[in-house]
Amino acid sequence: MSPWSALAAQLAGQIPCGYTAAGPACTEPTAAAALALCAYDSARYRRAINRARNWLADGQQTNGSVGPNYQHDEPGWPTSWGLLLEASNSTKQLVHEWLEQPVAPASILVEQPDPPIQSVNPGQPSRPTKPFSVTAALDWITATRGMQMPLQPGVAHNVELVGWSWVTGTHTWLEPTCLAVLALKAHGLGDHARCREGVTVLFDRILPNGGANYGNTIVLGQELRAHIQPTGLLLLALSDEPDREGKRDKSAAWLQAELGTETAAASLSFGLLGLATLSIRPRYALDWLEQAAKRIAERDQSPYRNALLLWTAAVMQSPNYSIWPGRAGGMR
Amino acid sequence: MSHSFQPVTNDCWPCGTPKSNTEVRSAECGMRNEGTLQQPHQAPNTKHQPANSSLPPLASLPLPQRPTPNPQSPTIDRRTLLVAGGSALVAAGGYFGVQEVLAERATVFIAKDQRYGGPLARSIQEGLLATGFDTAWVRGKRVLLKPNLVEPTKRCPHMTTHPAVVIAAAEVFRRWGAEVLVGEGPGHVRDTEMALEESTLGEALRSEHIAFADLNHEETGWRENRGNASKLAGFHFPSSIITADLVVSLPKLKTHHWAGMTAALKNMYGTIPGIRYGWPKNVLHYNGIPQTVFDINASLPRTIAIVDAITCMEGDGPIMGSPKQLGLLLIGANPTAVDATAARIMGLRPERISYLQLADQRLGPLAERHIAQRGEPWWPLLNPFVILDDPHLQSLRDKPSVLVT
Repeated sequence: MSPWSALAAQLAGQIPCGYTAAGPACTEPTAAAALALCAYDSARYRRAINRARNWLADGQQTNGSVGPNYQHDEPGWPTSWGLLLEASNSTKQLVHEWLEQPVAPASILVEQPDPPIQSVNPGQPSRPTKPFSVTAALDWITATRGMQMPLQPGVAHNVELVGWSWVTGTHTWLEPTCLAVLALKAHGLGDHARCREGVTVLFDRILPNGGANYGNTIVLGQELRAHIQPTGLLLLALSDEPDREGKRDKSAAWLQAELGTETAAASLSFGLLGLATLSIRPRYALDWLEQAAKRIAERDQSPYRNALLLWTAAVMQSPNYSIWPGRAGGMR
Repeated sequence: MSHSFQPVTNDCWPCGTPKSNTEVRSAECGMRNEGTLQQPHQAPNTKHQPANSSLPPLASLPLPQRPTPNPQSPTIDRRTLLVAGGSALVAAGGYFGVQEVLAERATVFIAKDQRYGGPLARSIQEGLLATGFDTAWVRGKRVLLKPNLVEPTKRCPHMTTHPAVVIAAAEVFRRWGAEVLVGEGPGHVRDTEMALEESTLGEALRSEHIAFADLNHEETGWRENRGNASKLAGFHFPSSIITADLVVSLPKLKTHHWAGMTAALKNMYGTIPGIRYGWPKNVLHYNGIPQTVFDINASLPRTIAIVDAITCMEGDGPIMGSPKQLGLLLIGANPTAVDATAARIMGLRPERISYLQLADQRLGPLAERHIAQRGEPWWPLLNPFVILDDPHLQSLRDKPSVLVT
């Protein structure tokens, strides 16, 4: 059994999972784990993937949003993760559990059984009362807006552009905007006005020397530092956009120079996924991923970080794999 | 932090009635009761006065100056004063005399000539003992050390609390029988593993087998806002904070291009979970930086402060500034008093820093005469920090000194 297949089996048994091995189940790690299993072997791990989908569906609010965990219905930024999972899960071999009861399709019969479930939320329902509503989630995403602000002296980015915020009623920031743009594109809404506005925001938030951080560029005359994780997400969101000013490619060059064997798991994963969307696959990427997985195994065994690593490793090994099936072009 | 908005410095903020936080802490935190809680300085019907309305004009405030000898901490408690001596005091000195006597006292310890490779644990232990820390109380207690890891990068080690200070503090509390863990919710980076590795704190914690709590992603519990300076009804605090018997603010001393300075009180922004408040924690910004700094500190469990002022940051802090060598550790049971002392050393006027204005006599004292100095006196250590050439920052000192544009 390869290290990655062992990790996949481990993750399948942990869904729904959290940011830490002992922590509560959360939306983002659960969706990331299911996305990783979709990429790694969707047929083998169908039940675990569906368990994640059911868990997310059960946590979906009537307005379509999904909160960060069962403890909190708000803020709704993890809604994008639910949409990404549904988009990646749209292949026909995947069947909602609530539909599979009468007769199991033939493909299910040949599956290996999942490992025993190690639920971190034993009190939570194992079956959803409703399916995840993609329509409601998309409605929520398209209706949600970061706060506009008056022009600020000393702040270089365009504060009047509206993307998505982490929390309702606050300013537009980079990662929630990347996730929302990705979610809209994954569901074929790349031309939606909100998606186009989000893309404009993202180009505006790229640092002059390439890369991005949480969403500020120049403050009081100083260009801020770029960070790996948001830059990777930025490339994922902008990979199919025209790069008229060369900002995206400059960001990719910055990212290539930053990644290495010591890069932390989440940053490494998003960085490599972002580069992969531009057909850039660093020669030692798989080695870096294995090193990162080894560190996680020795330290906190975070299901979230393991999920990101597995997902990225699967993509690195499958050049034609499309992360977002509904998106024009998909993963190159 | 690099916030894309102007800080709220002159908005209306509810004054509120002090919730006796200081009294509670004095009874429970293991520090000897050094003083008393001052009475509300504003009447309830002034609830929405501007924050600065009760303050004297800036020009009338005195320059930072050599401290006068500190009065000893009161040897009789507040209740005794009120019951037995209150009427006599009022007769003799009037209301302001009573207010002065009842004002909270605190002790701040300063150690100079400190190095990251030096015997920091010895200095920290000496400082805690000098400021009245009850070593017997902490035995078996859960102590959370809260460093500042806002946006770590190996290219800028003077931005974050040095691991040597964290490890030294852990050593002292462990020696006294406490259960120690380190917790932080970085404000600008979601990848906490990256923050730990870039700050080199991760390796240091592993080598000492000290647990780390990612405060951005933990389970949370709701706690009422006991400060009421902002409109927030309460805070979602991470479980590691809620279950801690003592939270030790371990900040890096830095200038802050919106708030003026950041040390023990502002560092507590990192106790707020990003999963609920965002990266940056923009909910707090929208409710006013000074107000939420005050409110968070008023709502936390018991806190003390150990400030890494060895290699600091000046200029465009808290992220893009330059290193500034001071070689100091500041230690105290009262983070407000510690911050006030740090501000004086930086050449800033604590009473002009908005969140310290709010904290004054509610969370602790700002006035020199109410802060007993232990270790080194602050005045010989005065070493003005470079601050940006911006009116809201230059007004924090009386005379512009070194300007950065």
